[in-house]
Amino acid sequence: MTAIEIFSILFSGSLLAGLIGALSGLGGGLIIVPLLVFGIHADIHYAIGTSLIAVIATSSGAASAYVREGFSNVRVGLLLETGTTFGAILGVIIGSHLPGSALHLAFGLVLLYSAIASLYGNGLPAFDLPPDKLATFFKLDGQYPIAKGYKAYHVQNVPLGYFIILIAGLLSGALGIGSGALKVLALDKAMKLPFKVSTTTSNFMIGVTAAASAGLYLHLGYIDPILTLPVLIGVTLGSLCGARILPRMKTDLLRKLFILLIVIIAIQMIYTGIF
Amino acid sequence: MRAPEKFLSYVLLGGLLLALLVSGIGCGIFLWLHPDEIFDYRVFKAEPVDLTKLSKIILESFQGNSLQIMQLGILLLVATPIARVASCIVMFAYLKDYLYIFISILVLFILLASILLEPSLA
Repeated sequence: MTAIEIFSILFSGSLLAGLIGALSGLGGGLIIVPLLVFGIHADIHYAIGTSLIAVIATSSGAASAYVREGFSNVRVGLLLETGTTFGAILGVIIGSHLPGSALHLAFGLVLLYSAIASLYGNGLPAFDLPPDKLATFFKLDGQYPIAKGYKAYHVQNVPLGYFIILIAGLLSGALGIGSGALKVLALDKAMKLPFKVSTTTSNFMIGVTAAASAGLYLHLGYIDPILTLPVLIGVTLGSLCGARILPRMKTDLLRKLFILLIVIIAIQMIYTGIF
Repeated sequence: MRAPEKFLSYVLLGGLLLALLVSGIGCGIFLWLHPDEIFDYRVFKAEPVDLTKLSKIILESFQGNSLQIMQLGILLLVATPIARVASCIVMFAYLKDYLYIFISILVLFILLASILLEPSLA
């Protein structure tokens, strides 16, 4: 394939990846990997390296707008990042001893289960719940913009959320993924953040987790500039657009999009685990 | 909007635009010079060491090597989340929130440690 062809295919696909990645808090990886493997016929190693950069680009593209508008909960993000970054280091160590196929399979099954669980109700959102002791100590409660003004919420179940996030970090390090799916689930299901706060706070965090692994994958030579650059530029622009759409998007629609996407990731992971 | 969050969001946007600018220049030069060159990625071969060493990337991009300028754009992008955590330290210092100054410094420390240490762990 010529350089121009590679650039055109990757750039256009990446715009969509950035848009969807920024809205869902999942990062651009889920579209970038198949785009490289099926669109460019690239080896999976290149796909992993490129998608890691795509995750950082999605995160950074949307982070500015989400922080400015008050969607991302920066304190929750930072507190949990101690877990994701530490988990990522553990993951790199464990990942070199464990077969990746087992991890992919386990991760895929967990996501499939969460997708099914998400279809059956979600319990109370945090604004109808009482303050939690630990969340109050860490000053995690916040408010986020709704159609008219702001709405306050109380964060719940900090230890459970932290535990899931630690696992998410571990998987990022071991598999070279952003693991936004587990992050959104921890924030939404365990800590009961409003859904838009969950996706945007996950977006704030995935870039930091992915950056922690970038040194490794750069060193391993997985990151090729010709493949990565069109993805970087496309995903960033797509993500900037996604951040403009989010405030107007209906939460219900966003949640449905999210469930659809985690089913796709689950299938990708199970497929990678088996074959 | 509150001032600290404004500050944080401008730092985030500034770093991102710088990474985009350098990436765009690198891409532009590369495509100008090699539009019809054929590339094949079906078999994985690790990138040459020159493209993975920080000092080489910086030195050679200033000599106008388009692949290294592209690689520099990638490095600048990887630096944006690091800058994000670092500017959180500044934001919480402004708010005199000592708990979160400590947490931000801890995250920055683990992040830098993992970027530097992971290559030798795997």
